[in-house]
Amino acid sequence: MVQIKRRLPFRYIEPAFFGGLLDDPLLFLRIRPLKRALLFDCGQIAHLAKRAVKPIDTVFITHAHMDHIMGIPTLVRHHHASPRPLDIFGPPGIAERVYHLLMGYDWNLSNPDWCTLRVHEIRQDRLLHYSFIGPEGFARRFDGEEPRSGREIWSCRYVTVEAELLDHKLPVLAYRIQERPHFAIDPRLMAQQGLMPGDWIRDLKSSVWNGRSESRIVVPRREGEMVREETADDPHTLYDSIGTRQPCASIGYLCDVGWTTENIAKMESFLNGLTLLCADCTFLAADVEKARASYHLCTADLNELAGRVTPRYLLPMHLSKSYLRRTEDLYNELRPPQGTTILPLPKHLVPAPLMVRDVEEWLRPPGNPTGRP
Amino acid sequence: MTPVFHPMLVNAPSEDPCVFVDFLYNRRAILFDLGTLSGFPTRKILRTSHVFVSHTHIDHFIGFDHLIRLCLGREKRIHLFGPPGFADRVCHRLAAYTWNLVYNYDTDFTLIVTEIHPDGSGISSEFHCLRGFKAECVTECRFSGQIIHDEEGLLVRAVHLDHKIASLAFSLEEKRHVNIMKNRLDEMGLAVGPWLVKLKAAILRGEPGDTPIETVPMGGAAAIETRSLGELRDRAVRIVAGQKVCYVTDAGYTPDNAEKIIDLARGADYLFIETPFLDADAERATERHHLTARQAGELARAAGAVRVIPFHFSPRYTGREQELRDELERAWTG
Repeated sequence: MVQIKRRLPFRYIEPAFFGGLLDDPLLFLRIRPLKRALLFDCGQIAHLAKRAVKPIDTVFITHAHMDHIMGIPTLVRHHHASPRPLDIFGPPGIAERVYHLLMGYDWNLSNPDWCTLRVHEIRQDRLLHYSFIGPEGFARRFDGEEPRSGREIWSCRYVTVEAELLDHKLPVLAYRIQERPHFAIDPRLMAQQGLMPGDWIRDLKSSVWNGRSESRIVVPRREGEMVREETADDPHTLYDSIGTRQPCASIGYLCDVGWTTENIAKMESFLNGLTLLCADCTFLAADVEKARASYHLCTADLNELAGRVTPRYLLPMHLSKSYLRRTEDLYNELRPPQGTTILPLPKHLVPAPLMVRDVEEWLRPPGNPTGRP
Repeated sequence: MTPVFHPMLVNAPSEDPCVFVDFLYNRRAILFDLGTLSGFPTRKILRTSHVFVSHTHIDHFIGFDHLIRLCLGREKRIHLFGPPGFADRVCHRLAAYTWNLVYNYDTDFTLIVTEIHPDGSGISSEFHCLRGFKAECVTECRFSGQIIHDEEGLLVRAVHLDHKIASLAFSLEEKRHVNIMKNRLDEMGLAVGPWLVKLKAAILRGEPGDTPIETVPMGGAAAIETRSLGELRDRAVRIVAGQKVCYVTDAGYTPDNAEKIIDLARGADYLFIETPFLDADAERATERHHLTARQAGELARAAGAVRVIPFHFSPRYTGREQELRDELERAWTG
C-alpha cells in the first residue's frame, strides 16, 4: 500500500513544535536546503536531543519572561565549543538579558574555538547589534546600530523573517516567516505568447534567479506553422510575463500579547493570509478578565483574530496550566472561520519524571474474573 | 541505626553533577551543586531548603533557573551557599529575566545567598520575589572552624579547593543520632508515633532529665501519658555518632587540596567524589585541575570513607565507565 506522507504546504521550511499545549512554546523551523534551523522562543529546551539543537543557529525571542528565554544557557552549552556564531534576535532590552544570563556563570575555561553570540535588539526605529565573544569568556561588545525601515530583520535565500513590536505591558515581538518565491513558469502564459519550451528556460533561470547575466537568451516563438528564434530583450521582463504568481507560504508566531485596539490593528495587518498561525491562547473565554489583566489572548480573542486574518492552519499554544484537567475545552471553544484548520497539540510533550503509579500496571498479576485470590 | 540522610546522584555520573540528600521523617532535602534538574521529580526538588554550590561553571549551576521557576509563587525560603563571587552570579542569573508580573503575587519566595571567602568571612544577601529579586539586606558574616551552616541537629562544613578558580567541597554532618529501640518501647507499653520526633529534639537540645514528655501508649488508647525525658532516654534511647555525607568535586590533585579533602571527609558515611579521568590520563587531569579515579580512591582510603560514590565522568570515557569505577575501587580498597 502506498502511504501518502501528509505535511503542511511548505516548500523550503519544515516546522516542528517542541512543546505540548501547556509546555513552553518552541517553534523549530528547519530550512531544508540549508540543513539549518531557526528557533522561535527558547524556554525550557532540556528535552531536545542534541541532534535537534545543533542545527539551530538563529533564535528569535518574543520577550524575556522566564518561559521564553530560560533555555539559552542550554543552547550556548551545546554550541560553545564550535566557532560557528549563534544569532539571537529579540525585543528592546534583550542584549542586557543575554548579558546577565551569560555572566551568571564562570567562563574561565574559554578558548579560541568558542562560538560568539551575536545579539540583535529590535527597536521601533532601529536595530542594535552586540557581540558576546566566546574566546574572551563572552565579553560584551557593542557593534553599532542601524536605522530600521520595514519589518524584515533576517533573510536567507529561501526565507525571510519579519518582526512587529506589540504590547504585553512590555514590548513583545511577533514574527512572520515568509518563504521566498521560487522560479516557476506558467505554461498557459507561455502558450499565450507562442513560446515553445526548451533549454532557454534553464538559461532564463540562471539569469534572473541566480544573477548570471553573461548569456543572451534565445527563445523559440511559434508563428503560424513556423518557429522563429529571437533574442529576448530583457530576461526580467520576459520572466515577469511568463512566471507564475502564487502566494508564498508563511508562518506567523504570536505569543503573549494583549487584546488592545493598537495590537489588534497591528496583528491584522501583519498576520494576514498566513499558511500557519501559531498563536498564544492562554485563557478560556470565561476568564476573559484574566486575559485582559495579564495581556494574553483568550479563546474568544483568538476566534476573532482568526476570523480577521484567516490562516489556513491555526496552532493554539501556551495554554495556562490552570486548565490541566480541561484542555479539551480550548478546542471546544475555538471556532475558526471556514477554511481554517486547527492543529491540536497534546497537553505535554516534555516527558514528566515517572511516578510509581505510571508503571505499577506492569507488575500486576493477570486479571482474575472469578474474583478468587 | 535508621539513617536520616538519604543521598543520591540526581543525574547519571557522566552527566551534570548534582547530589540530592533527602531527609527521613521531615519533608526536606538539601542539594550539593545545581547541575541540570530537568529529569528530576518536581515534588522532590520542592523539598529543597539549602543548596551548596561548589563553583559556577555551567555544568554545576545550570539547574538554578529550573529551581527558581518551580518555587515561584510559593511561600518558600531557600538558602544558597557558594564560593567568592557567588552572590554576583546569582544577581546576574536573576537579572536575566523580566519580573514585571511578580510584584502582586501573594507569596514571597525568598533566596538567602551566602558567599564564603577563604579567610572565614562571608557576605550574605536576600532576594525577594515580591521585589523583583533585587539584592537586599547585604550583611557581612564570619564562620569559624569551616562551619558555614549550623542548626539544631546538623551542621555543614566547607573548604576551598583549587580548581584554578575556587571550588568548595562540603560535608553535611548530623551532630548526634538518636536511636529509638522499639523493643524497649514495647516493654514500656508505648506506641511509636510523631511524639518521638519531639523526644529526639528534646534530647538533642540537651534538656534536663525531668522534662515532661507526652507519650502515646500502645493499643490505640487516646489518652496521653506523660513520662520524664530521663526515664525514656535511659530505657529506650541510644545516642550514637551522627551521619556524615561529603561532596568533593572539581579539584586538582595538589598536596594542599589532598590534605583538605582528607581532613573534611574523615570517616564519612558517604563520600561523593569526582572521578573525571583515568590515571592513564593524569596529565590531562592535572591540566584541567581535576582528580583521576586513582587519586580519588586514595583520598577516600586516607579519609577512611565508608562508602564512595564516583561521579562527573568525562565524556571521553563513554562506554568505558566501568574502568573508572574499577580504578577507584582498587585504590580505595588498597
